[in-house]
Amino acid sequence: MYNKNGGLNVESIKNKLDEFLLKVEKPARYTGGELNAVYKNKENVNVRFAFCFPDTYEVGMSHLGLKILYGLKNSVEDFWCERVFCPWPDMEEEMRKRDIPLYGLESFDPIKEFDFVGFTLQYEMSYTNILNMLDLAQIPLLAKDRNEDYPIVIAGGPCAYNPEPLADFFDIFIMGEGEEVNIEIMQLYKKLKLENKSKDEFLKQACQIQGVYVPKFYKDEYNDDKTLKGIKPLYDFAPEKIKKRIIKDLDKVFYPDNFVVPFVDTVHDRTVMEIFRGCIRGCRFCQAGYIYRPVREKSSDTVNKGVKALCENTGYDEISLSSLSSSDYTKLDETAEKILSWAENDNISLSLPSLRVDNFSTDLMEKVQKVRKSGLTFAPEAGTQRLRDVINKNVYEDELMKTTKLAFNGGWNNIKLYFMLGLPTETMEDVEGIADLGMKVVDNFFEAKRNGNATGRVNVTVSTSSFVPKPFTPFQWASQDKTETLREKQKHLKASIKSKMITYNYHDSYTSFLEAVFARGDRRLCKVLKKAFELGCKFDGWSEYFKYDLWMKAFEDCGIDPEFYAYRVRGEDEVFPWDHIDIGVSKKFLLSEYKKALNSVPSPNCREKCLGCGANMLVGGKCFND
Amino acid sequence: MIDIRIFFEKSDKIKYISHLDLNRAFQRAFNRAKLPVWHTEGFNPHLYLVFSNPLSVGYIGEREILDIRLNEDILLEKIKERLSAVLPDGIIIKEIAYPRYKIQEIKYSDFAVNFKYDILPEKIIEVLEKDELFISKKSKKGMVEVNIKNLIKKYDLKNTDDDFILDLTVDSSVTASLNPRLVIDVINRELSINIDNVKYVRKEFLDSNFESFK
Repeated sequence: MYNKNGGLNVESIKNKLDEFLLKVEKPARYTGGELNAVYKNKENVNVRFAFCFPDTYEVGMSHLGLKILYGLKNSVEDFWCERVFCPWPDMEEEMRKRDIPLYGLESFDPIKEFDFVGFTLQYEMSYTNILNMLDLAQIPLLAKDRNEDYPIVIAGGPCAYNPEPLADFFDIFIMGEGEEVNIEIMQLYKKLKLENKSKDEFLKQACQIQGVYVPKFYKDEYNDDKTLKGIKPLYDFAPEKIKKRIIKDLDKVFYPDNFVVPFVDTVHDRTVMEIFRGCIRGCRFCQAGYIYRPVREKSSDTVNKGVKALCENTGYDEISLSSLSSSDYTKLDETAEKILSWAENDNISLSLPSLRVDNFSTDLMEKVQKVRKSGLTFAPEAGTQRLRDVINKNVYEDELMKTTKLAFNGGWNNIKLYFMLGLPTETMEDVEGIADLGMKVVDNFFEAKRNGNATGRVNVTVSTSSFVPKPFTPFQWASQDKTETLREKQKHLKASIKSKMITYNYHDSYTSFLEAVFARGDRRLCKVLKKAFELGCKFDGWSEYFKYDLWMKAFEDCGIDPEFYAYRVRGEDEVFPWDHIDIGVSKKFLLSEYKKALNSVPSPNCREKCLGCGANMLVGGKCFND
Repeated sequence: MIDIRIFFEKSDKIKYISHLDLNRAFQRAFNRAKLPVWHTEGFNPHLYLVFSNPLSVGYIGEREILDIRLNEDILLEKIKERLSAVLPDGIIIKEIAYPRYKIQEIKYSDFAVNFKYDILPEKIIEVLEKDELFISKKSKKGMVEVNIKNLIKKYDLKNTDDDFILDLTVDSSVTASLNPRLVIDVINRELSINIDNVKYVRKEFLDSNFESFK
């Protein structure tokens, strides 16, 4: 399995690119050479890693996980991590025409010659791109078809928590935060490589590392009613449960002081600093709120020093603080103050995404406003208090009213409100509640205008996504609304919005349906995915490429009913395909939250009262030091 | 305030980035270099950068021009040193000087056009020697016929077997300019051939006396 040669050499790939790059859209996406990209001498490198993001360059380069792991791996002298993105179909066509295999952006070497090919699993709709990238890399799709000559194909990221729908394609899945475990895996590989051990020996030893799942060491069995009977280890050496990894001290963990600065415009092109991991809230639809538990914060000094170094090393003039809920960061005020004390002089602006409605302060708003003013976004998620209690959003209408009044009086004219349609127990009354809420926000603007504190036009954007039940959430037992029902709800909401000041956006419900199938899917879906890819599905997250009919054909050809996965309410005792993965939060706890949801009973947040979800054991028993 | 002229190379390595990308790369480089560059005033202050006319994506520029303003006088060598240290690899500072002419006074530019084709050089010269070379060009009013012959000031064709270098001096001013790609288009059309994989290099800008622009 160790370093292979052969195939096209670097110069020939580079020269071949010159023959046609002007024919493709935005060719700079395929040529690297950006500021801070890492180049190493191959002769001095022992382990080569291709970090693959299964979407376009612009999307992938905006992803924080890539920046962290790229910096981390390259900080080890004899490891070399390169970036790989999914070529847009025009580029893919030219590459296939000329038999150019997928290559690393730094070395232009084919990634099939690397030691590791790693994918980050951010959303289900990128799965066909993974297969397409493997195929374009001239690497066999199925793990069982890859002999010792091929790289170890590995994956991590939030969707890896239910790895089963991808199990046939990967050698290894990583559960949890990657900073330590990635290095451990690569070190082990290096050691065995020097000892000339086989791939199987490597996988056998790798699965002893906490957080490492090697799917081929497990077997899936089913009941007569097609539900899962269980996923059991085939060998004694494979652990029965795979426990996720977390980083205990975020002040000590690696964080890059340098980002690759893209030439082309990307989705998020700025300094990003993580301020904490986990979330105290426990919104019942939100997978991130459970899989990243428990909450661990960075100190304001770590954050401030980090963003300063990043701005100096990149030249970015925008800073974004990243977390699941910025305003829950206990050191937000002092951190913002520290950053603004130097950033203002340098014309650098600070933005705070993921603000909550209930603890938003005028002070903070003014601080952030000082440099540059951006739009404000809030996510009430549901239109009525009853439904917000069901999902445990713990946001009240009067809080939204207070906050939007503050915002309008403070000079904001643009407010975005995010909602979900199709939440468990939702009725048309709840849908109308979204329109009412939007209207009340508009009214607040006119009140501010009458008081002379606001000018111009107001724009309230109401966006709805469709609820997708996710593993490791209290709603993992729930069914998804049928696509027709979701469409009716979208139509009804559209009709209920009367004001021209409100813009209504919504997501395609077919996409959400497929997401629901794969989010809670099992190993039987691997063949559907492969079939869909073979039929031509790719870039499913891009509406211009999403081919629902081909997907349905893939299901039909494989004799698998997608509705079984999306529309079925699970029994309390049902075994899930992700039950052998241990995120630290117990299934018992999730079930108790599900039952509370069905009775519209909210739960307190982690700081108010510990509900004993189990995640505290990951940090030695105590989540907060107070 | 002091006006400064930067001559730089947009090298082979980054020839696929657009003018907008190049502009952004320079803005970030100035942020990193911590040079006292003048910002425009107003609600949303931004760096004052003025470039010579944009290079098409895929073209190399050996002596492109960027004008900036500094709030204080700094040794030119120092500027070169600090800026070079923070620019991406593919952007190379050639010279930093005080401008002699306004950037709008650029009149012509020299291009080297490199391609491979099995054809007699005389055939190409025959085309270039014609009195008129009309081509259709997109304009605001739709397609218009333009005689590009008037925009070609000088040319020189060299070849070793199939390897050709066509040196062109073309108009490059505010009122008239010619992209050398159109010259290749005309040659292709007139000779019914298909020269492909052309390498375009803008060597430098010239003033009205055909001297290097300063």
